[in-house]
Amino acid sequence: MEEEIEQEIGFHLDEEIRGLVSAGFTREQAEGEARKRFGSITDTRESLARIDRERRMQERRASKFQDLVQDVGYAFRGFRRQPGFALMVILTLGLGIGANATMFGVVDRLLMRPPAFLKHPDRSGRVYLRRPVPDGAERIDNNISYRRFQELSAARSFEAAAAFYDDQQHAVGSGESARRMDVSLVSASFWPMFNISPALGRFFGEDEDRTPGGSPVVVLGYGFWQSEYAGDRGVIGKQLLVGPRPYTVIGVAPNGFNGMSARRVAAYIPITAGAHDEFGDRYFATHNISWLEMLARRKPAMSAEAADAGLTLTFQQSLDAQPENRPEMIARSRAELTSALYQRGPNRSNEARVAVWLAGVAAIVLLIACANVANLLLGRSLRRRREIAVRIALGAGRRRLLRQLLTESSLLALMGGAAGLLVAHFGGGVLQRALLPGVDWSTVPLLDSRMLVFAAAMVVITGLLTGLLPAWHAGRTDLTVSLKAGGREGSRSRARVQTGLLVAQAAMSVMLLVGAGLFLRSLRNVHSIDLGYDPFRLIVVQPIMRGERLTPSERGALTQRLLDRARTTPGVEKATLTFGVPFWRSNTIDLFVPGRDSLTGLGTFYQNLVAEDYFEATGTTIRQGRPLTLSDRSGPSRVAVVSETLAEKIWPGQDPIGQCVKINADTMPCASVVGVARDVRWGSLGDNDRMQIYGPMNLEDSGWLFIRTTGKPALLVEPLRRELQRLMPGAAYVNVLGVSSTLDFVLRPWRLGATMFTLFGVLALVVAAVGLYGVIAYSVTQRTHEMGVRAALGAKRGDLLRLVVGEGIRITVIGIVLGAAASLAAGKFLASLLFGVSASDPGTFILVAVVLLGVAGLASLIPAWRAARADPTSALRAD
Amino acid sequence: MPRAELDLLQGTLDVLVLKALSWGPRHGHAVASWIRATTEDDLNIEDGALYTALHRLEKRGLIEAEWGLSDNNRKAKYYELTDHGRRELRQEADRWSRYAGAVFKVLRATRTAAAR
Repeated sequence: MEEEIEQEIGFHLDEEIRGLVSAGFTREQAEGEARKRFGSITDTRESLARIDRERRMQERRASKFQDLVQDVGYAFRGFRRQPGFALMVILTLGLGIGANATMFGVVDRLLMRPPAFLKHPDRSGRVYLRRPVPDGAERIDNNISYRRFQELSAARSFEAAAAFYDDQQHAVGSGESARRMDVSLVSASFWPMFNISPALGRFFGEDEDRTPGGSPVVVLGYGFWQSEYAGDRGVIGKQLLVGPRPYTVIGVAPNGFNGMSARRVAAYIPITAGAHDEFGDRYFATHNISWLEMLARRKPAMSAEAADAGLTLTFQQSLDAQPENRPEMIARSRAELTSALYQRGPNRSNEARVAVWLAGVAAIVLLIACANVANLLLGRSLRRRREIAVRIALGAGRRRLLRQLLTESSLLALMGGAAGLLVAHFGGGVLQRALLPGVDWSTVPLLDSRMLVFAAAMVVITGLLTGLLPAWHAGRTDLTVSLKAGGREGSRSRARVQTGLLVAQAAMSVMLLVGAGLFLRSLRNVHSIDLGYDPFRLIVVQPIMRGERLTPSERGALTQRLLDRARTTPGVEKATLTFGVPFWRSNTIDLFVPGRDSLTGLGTFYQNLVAEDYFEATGTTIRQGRPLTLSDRSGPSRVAVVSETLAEKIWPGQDPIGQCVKINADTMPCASVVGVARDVRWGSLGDNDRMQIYGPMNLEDSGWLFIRTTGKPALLVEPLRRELQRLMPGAAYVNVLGVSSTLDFVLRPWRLGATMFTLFGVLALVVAAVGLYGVIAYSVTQRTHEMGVRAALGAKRGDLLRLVVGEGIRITVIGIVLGAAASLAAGKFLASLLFGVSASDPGTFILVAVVLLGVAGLASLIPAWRAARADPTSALRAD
Repeated sequence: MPRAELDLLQGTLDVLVLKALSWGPRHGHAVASWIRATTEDDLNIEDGALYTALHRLEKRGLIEAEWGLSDNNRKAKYYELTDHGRRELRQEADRWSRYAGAVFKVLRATRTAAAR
């Protein structure tokens, strides 16, 4: 380029000089004049070079853009010619990307996204206290006492600190609308730790949050304000019953704010006020009540380690002030500021683990989908290999062709990504609520910027994964082979690559299906456990006094009234009293039997106090003897009913009826066993919690009601609640729910695992089957000529079928073997999530193999059938 | 030359070059000579500035360049107007005549014309 400029300038000067000389100048004079007229040559040279460089860049960009437009247009024309292909690809990718985007949203919520509006989340966190316990281990607590909170707040590591307690079962409201809601008890210093201002009114301040009892003021949650008060702006000053006493509404929190809770918070009250209601004056004087959590933000200048060190020091000083703490225990105690997200702290629950597992599963599904699409694109590009060869021969650069193929796959990935976002938008909501019920998803828009970025990344990865393979393969096209008419032998490497992809798909499908099978079996095992009672016909009624004081006889009268009213309610078959509810409320005791040493080694003994009709109402049938009756309540002798396992373990081989058992102390009078009942699973689903002993309950005890319904309990819950609520005095109310919902919590992990794995497993299977079908179909059309030859040489239809199906089966078998090996290896990590089935359960593996082979056989059979039906002569002539 | 006058000159140069090429392709030297002759050297244009104008116009797409042979068989870079360039020339010529005409009207005005 510089040469041209030189030439141009040179030409000009020469011409100018020539003209001047012919006008009479001498050579030298002419040169001088020419240069003078020109001006600075070096400057001009530079300017021209710069301008030309810019022009070239402009042209290159324009031509690149033109190329891109051309490629896109070409790709779209190709899609229009084969809409089925394009649709299938987009659908496949859409499902894969959509599943991943949704799972990303869930994992993001649990593990990555800090609480909304939190200031400086990188410097903020929850405080965890570590203390050594006698047997050498370490106890990690994030629940601390109010006094400890006050002492730790003074730590120099902190810029700000607040106390909070998210109560999911706080009584709110009065009369018929009394309900348990999510109420957050927060210190006044909580509000400034977030970037928020009230939607209405104001937040409470230090004056309203002083020990001992704070002020009864409440800030409403935005959603609660909308649903309960219809957004009435005159709500300020109104009274709301929170816990046992009325609180005055002073403000409304902004939309999307839920403090540190993932759930929708209905109201916020000062922590001192709520604590006083619950614990009286004791809560701030002692260290014994550890209930609240601490949110803190360290100073910007301090590193995390330095802040933790300073905090530990303050913690140790606080421990030291308690005379009962031993110095060596204090020395080994630590305090630290960990993530603001509970699921990232040391006490995380299973939810996060399950979510991460499922995200991994979704990623596998996407990989399968990508493998599928890559295969399809590969097949397609090979169908066009002659066209590609001609284009290369005519001078199109290989790079240009590569770019064109990549453009195609990128376009497909882009459209797949758009489809995926649609899937995430509509299906995602369902998934989120199934995975994490109770979490307030409204604070996280389904399609927010992080998910869009994630989806975009997925699109890029997918486009590359699916496009590079065929592009690379096309780049290695041997021109002469492809140009020859009837290049029908097909390249070896093509077959290997396609087969490899199919094997990978089959292997991954196996892994997912095995997971699904194991979870389904776990679920079935869990469902088929004999719980010992009928949860699907039972309702539990929990009377909550909420500060109303009743004498024991008044309480007894109330209980009787509740029982009587319940018994006359239509739809109620039986009503009885109980102290405990399985998985919810229980009482463990020590038992003593005369003439025996301690019984503690036998396991856990659960005691339940029950009224008459209990065993009939719950379905816990009596195997021997008799149930407890009305007369047992105030009868002269003490009686008890025991469960089968208890009888078996304490009096093996003997008749338990009439035996003597002493409850809680050896000095207690005997209770005589009058009946043996079916075992009930009380504390967990394992085999160790099956020993119960039942005694008669008095009306004055704080018993709950068990109601047996004739029909479905769900239909009776609300009518029953209304009926019984009328009997409750003052601010007291009843909590009524079906017993089966207490089981939901216990069953959820397996239900979840089974649902998700099955869903994804079936998806993977469908995608893999479609992929296999596509590849076999293509391979068959390529081998039409070969089929024709074979048929002409005497092969029968059956032989041809066997040939093609055999290929499909062979691929699948290899995939199954690899997938099974991978599943066995990964099984260790899954084992803790299963129930009653081992991670290498052979039955499941065999079933999965059979299913996969069946599907693969079918997917190969269809194209094979069509090939075998082809007319041999036209096949021979085919190209 | 002072900067302000130089900028004005660049804009003017562009339209002069476009005009110079309106009769057909020419190489840079021919353009320079023609402009000098037609303006009777009143504008004192440096040739270097002229070539800068030519290259800029090429970058803007108003003219396009091609190497060819001059009368005396030497390699020279010939420039030609594009359609876009022709349109630009028309617009610029129009604007210039209106501009010059307006200025000329003011300069020729008598006192009485202004008072009215």
